[in-house]
Amino acid sequence: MNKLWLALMKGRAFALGVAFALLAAFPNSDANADDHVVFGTVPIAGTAAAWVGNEAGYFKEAGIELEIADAVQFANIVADVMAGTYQFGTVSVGTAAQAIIEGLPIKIVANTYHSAGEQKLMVLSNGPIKTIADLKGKHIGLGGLNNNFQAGIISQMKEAGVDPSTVTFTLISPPDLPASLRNGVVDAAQVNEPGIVGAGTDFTPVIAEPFKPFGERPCNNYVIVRADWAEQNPEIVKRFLTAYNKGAELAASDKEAVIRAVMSFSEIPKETLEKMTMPGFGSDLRQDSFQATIQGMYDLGFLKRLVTVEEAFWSP
Amino acid sequence: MGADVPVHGSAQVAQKPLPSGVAPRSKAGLTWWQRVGEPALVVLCVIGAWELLTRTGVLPAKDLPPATVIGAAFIGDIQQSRVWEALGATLTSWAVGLAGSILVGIPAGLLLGSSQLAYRLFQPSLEFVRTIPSIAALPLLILLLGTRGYQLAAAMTFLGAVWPIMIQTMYGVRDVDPTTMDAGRAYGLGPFQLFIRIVLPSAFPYIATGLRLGAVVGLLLSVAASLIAGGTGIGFLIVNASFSGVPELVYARIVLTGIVGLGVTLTLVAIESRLLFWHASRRRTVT
Amino acid sequence: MTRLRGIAIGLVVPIVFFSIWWVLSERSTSPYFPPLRRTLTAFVDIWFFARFFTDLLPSVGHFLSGLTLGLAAGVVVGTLMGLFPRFNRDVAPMTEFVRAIPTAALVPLGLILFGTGFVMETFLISLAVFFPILVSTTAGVRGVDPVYLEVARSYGLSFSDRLWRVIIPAAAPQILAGCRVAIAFGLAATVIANMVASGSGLGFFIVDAQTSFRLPDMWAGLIMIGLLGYLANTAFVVVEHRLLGWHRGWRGATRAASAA
Repeated sequence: MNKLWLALMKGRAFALGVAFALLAAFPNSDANADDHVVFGTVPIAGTAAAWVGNEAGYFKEAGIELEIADAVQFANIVADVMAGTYQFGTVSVGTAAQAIIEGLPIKIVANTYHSAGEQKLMVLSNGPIKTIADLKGKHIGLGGLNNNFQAGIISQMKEAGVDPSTVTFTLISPPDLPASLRNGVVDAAQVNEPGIVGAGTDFTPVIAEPFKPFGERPCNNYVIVRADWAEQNPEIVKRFLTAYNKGAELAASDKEAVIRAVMSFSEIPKETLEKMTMPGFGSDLRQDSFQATIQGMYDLGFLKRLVTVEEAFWSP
Repeated sequence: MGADVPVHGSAQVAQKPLPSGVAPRSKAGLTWWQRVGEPALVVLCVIGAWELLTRTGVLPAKDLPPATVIGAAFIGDIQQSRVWEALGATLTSWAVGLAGSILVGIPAGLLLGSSQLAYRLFQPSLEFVRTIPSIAALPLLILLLGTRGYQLAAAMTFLGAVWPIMIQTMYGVRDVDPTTMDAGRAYGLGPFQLFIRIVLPSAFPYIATGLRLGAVVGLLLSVAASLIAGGTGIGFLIVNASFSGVPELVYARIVLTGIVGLGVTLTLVAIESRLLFWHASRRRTVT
Repeated sequence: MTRLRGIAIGLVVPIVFFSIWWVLSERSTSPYFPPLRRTLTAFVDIWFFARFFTDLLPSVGHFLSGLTLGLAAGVVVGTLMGLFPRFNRDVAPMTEFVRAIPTAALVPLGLILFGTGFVMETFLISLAVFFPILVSTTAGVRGVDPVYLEVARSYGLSFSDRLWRVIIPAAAPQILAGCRVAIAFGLAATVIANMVASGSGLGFFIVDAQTSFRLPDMWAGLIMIGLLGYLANTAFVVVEHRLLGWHRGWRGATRAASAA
């Protein structure tokens, strides 16, 4: 594994050339006593636990100076974790599995959030689609393809007797999905909070619990690390996890803290946040739901092979 | 922009004296109304049309907010420091990437332009590389550099800017008038003197144009990097507003991006025509 | 003969480049830099068979229709802006403003106005193509030697004759030079339009490969973009030769413009 990274680093130095030597000096310059750790997230409420824990001072207590960095896509977070620009990052369960299958050395260390109704497959309230069976032959917009959301709704469509091959799935960037549904671009769409509150009575859920086939409130997103980095720095990982899980517990019990946290990194108005269904937080790793989700995705051919709990989760 | 002549500041135009009787167009000949008033009126009309279309429901106001709503969001937004920090980050990456592409592009261009062998070896490949959109390299750069901090946007700027600068410099050097070179030699100038006194001044308009083109493309790519991948730039703020379900803020920030781009373009055009006032091609094309 | 020699010399750099790539990557264990051999195998498997009709052909179609539309619009508006300084002054702030917005930021707008698919992607591509053509056409038309215009006027040529016989031919080298810049912009837009809102196409394929870490596939996609750019550019060079062989200022202009 070390060889690989050496090769990568060489490749990097080569590609960057003279111009970026300057920049490379930037990030590692703090001589603080606390360990500086970068945690990569996307700006959604589901990633609030880290912010909540940081605001409560849990990371400081654990001797960690936490920097929370912004990304747009989970797959890019994997790239950052691999490149070492992030030490920790939050990714969806499908992205984590894909990365492991393709041989990227990442490990899951914590639960980012579990589904609690913050993502739904919705249709226009005054439209023709009333039940799952009506989805036959329709055009569905999703925020990601070949992922757990799609696996969950396909499995429920099959149960309702809809042949998924009659349905067209189109990838649309998640924030544009409500507008796409409202303007008739698609017949049904994955709508995530704050889109559900934002739509008001315009939309009704046609599949209210997309992840139901994977168990009760299955875990959607996990915190990952790079395996070799975690091996070299088990102490930092443990201290990070202590703080992070304390934050997750606090987030689970204190909605006000979550709202404050989300307001610090997003532009969602307070009124919307108060009405929003928040994702579920907690320190439980939920390995059962991981296995069920992977199985569901594998059964539909979204994954080349199954991923075992042993290869996916970090054990010190 | 009339002054936005892509590259035609070529030597052949430069040597041609202005035809007599045709007055050079210049700013001085225009009234305030012609220069500012009327264009501003057009902008207002466009904004008005947008307002009308969204207010009357021709365009869906919930997803494409009326101009006044965007305007209010814009004014609220620019009073927040995070916008300026993000703009600063984008412009910093842009400046670093541009500096890198100047450091690489100009010497490489000079070399390729002065050596016939190097030119013939590399010119076809350069023509090929130039047609590959730099944005295609983004997935690769994300894997290499990650998305955090300035690196990604700087690398994108570099990739976008280095080709115009390099190729423009190369053609600038090659387009030096051979007669002038002969005259220089006849006056006994050495290679270094020839380079400083003839090659550089003659290639300068080309290089300046390459810099301007590279700078504009680089800025677009610097914004696009944080828009598509994340990080600290203004592009990410657009995404963040979008994730937050606040369309008026999304469009306010897009407008801000456009204004900054417009400002950069105008500044560069102004600098270029200032620097090249002595050059005949400019005298004819400056608006 | 000299032409053949020129081509041969031009091939040296790419051959050396690919050889070095091949040799260096052959033993690579890095998932990010698969051996070139594997990338090329993926390239053949993907583009010659499975994905040719589902992903490549539609993208090429969108690209060509967007290019045509953007080109036509750019030449018309650019000619107007070049002919009428007042019109130029009036709309330049708007065009410069829109030009400074990355295509990716305009995808949601295209999505709401045109839905997903052909019309939306053609719109975005033509918008991206429009600006480089507009700028170069405006400059080309403005740059027409006033002496030509004076002569044409004194011979009593009508406005449409002046436009078609003097102005457009004189501006042609710059317009075509703008086209070559536009190819790169149009290809970028093709990829972006399809990265953010679709379920198939070249851009989707690349992003999907990247986000599911099928990296040889991603490389195969990147190489395909390069190849498309190269083919489009070559086609334009041929057209340029045909159209402009007669033009005096042509050599200088193409050279100069290739930089953009």
